[in-house]
Amino acid sequence: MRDSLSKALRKHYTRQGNRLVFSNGMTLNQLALEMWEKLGYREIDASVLSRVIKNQRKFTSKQIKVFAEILKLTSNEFRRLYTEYCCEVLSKADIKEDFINDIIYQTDGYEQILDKIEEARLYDALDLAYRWENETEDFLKSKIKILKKARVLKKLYDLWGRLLIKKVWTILEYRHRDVALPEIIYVPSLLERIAKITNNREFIGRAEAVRGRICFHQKLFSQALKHDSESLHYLRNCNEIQWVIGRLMLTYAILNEDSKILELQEQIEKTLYTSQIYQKFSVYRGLSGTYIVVRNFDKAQKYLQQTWDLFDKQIKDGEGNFKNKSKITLYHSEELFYQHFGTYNKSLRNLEKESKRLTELFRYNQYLIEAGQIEYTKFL
Amino acid sequence: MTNLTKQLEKYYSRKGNRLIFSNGMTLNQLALEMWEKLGYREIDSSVLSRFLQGERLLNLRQFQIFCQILRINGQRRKEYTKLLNYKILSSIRQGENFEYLKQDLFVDRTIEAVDSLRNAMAYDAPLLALEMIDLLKEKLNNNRLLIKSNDVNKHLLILKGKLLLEEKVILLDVLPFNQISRRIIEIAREFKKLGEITGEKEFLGNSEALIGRTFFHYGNYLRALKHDLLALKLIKNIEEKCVVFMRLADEYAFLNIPKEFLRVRDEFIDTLFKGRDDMWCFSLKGISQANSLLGREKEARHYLDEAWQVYHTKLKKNYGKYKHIRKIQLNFAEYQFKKKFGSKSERQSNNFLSEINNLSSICGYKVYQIKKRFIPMVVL
Repeated sequence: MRDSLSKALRKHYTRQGNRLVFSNGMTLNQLALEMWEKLGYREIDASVLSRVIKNQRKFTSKQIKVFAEILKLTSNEFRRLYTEYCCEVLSKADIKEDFINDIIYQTDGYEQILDKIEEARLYDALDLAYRWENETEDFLKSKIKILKKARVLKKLYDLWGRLLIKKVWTILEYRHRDVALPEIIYVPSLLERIAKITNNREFIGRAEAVRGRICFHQKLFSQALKHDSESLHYLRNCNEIQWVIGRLMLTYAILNEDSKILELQEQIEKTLYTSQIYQKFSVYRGLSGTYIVVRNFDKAQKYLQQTWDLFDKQIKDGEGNFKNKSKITLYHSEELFYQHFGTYNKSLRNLEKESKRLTELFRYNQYLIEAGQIEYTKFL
Repeated sequence: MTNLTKQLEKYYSRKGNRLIFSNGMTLNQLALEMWEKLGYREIDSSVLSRFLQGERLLNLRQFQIFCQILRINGQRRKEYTKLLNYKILSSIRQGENFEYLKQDLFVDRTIEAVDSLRNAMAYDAPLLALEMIDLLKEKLNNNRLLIKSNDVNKHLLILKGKLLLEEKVILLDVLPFNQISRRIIEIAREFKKLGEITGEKEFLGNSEALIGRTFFHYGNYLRALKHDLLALKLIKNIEEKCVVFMRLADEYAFLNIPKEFLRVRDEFIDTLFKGRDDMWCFSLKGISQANSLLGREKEARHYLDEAWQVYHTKLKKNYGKYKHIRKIQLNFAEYQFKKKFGSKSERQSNNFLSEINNLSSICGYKVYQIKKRFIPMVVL
């Protein structure tokens, strides 16, 4: 039997020898008598009350209200107590659905928190997203530790897994390059564990994709290729697939395996029509990056121009959509364009200044890279 | 007719005395299809008809098949399943407890959401906060309409007050007053109403303060003074008190009553040390501004330097401390100081303006994007 209600009741009495003394100074017998009177001289006696305290039987809704009234509980104290009461009675109701769990364990609340974190990221509030991600992860971990109900646990692990992906993205952008990788190194194996617990193989794909990304950052391109290719067998989410394909194209370009690029490009372009603006922006920027690396001037310029068009028409004057990050990344694309082709697509002088300022203000530390330095992570 | 059955009306129409569903099936055909999928049992057209009229319930499995055949998926299916669950709980007399619990958790979640709003502002993501507040207000209003329990309702009213306070802060810090004046008056009215219902003096104080703020904006300092003095008596929240104190100091300065200004200043100084670091910075800037208005150059400089010191030591290197908005405000105070006492070169003062414009447009503080010729004598 759940005992959270009896635990909550414990706050309102103390033991003195073998007697219980309640917060209003009454003994168990006195309280039972008072309750009995208020309940119309029925329902409660000292033995019933004692069994409730010992978690051997339950108050009715009316009894708990009278109990609170006599002890003069504040409205917050009553709220806490009554919430525990409702949790207990509802958890016994035979509802074979997640929704009681959603309510009691707030799992649907976490869904909203994940959305909120995504919003913060879209508005370039990385500090805030990072803070919320950490807070939410701590909270989820603490809940997972104390819960035993398999169904709820599964749901919480699923949420944790999805949160981890967001956290990886934030850390790679926000934390300094020296500390970012050590901070996410635990994630792939945890995602694999989550895949087992939730029986959701998509998390295996996510684990492989994070490994691919880590290898890419470490310039272990062949290994990155292996992990990213593997991840595509499992991933279902269109955005995640696009990210991985984008990275694969770039990796093939770096490894001079140009023949694979076209096939991947066709694959990624097929998925583009349903994508959000920023996702399209990233795909085009990724394509331009790939063609910069393989030194295909025309295609590099074409996709860079398409990226600018999207930025100018749909991102620049709106809100959200990683507006500031987009500007920063555009500068880096332009800079690499210049480095590879020795000619400007757009003048870099003002762009560099603005990008530096935005990088510092919004703490996109991933992009704290000196001009002239070849760093392929700039394309990601 | 229940909520659920009403919602389901969308999926069929009546033609004569026949029901035709959104997939083209008649009632009999749908019942037959369900019967097949349920293993040739449980359902017939009479059961389905009674369910649609709200006279009986389906179990969850039957309902999932109903949704599947009518292709009701995603969020909608989830919502309808919740409604059905609620009906099932009500039928076993747990509806009231469920409702209580749901509302209680809603209160908790809304408190968290209000905290998130404050976080968004503290991390200088005002446009994110602006987007979040509208969603939250809508949710709170929708929820209040559903509430029956007085106890929860009182909590929601207090919550509404908290939300109004955040809304006020966000609007005043983000958008130009002319754009929000109506909403501000509306908020003042709502505060007053809330104060009268709940007996919370703080709400009445907030209402007075907003009226004071409005009169201040339109240059009616005498009337602003009257409301702000009243607000000061009612408000306990240190941050809100500081804001009113600052306005009072300016009002006495505009009305050229130095004696009263000095009295308020001393009280203000006693209060501001109890507030948050950023309010400390903001308040010192406010005292400097009022001194400027009264032509007390030395004092104005002194307090402005102190404000900068707080900014550099407590805000600049930290996150979640309103550092960008405070920097904008300090730059405004510097600009006004220069204008009043002419102690900085034109170039220096233009630097202040360019820093203000740059920072406010990047972060989204539209209220501070003011053309040079429209800059008021004080910026609150």
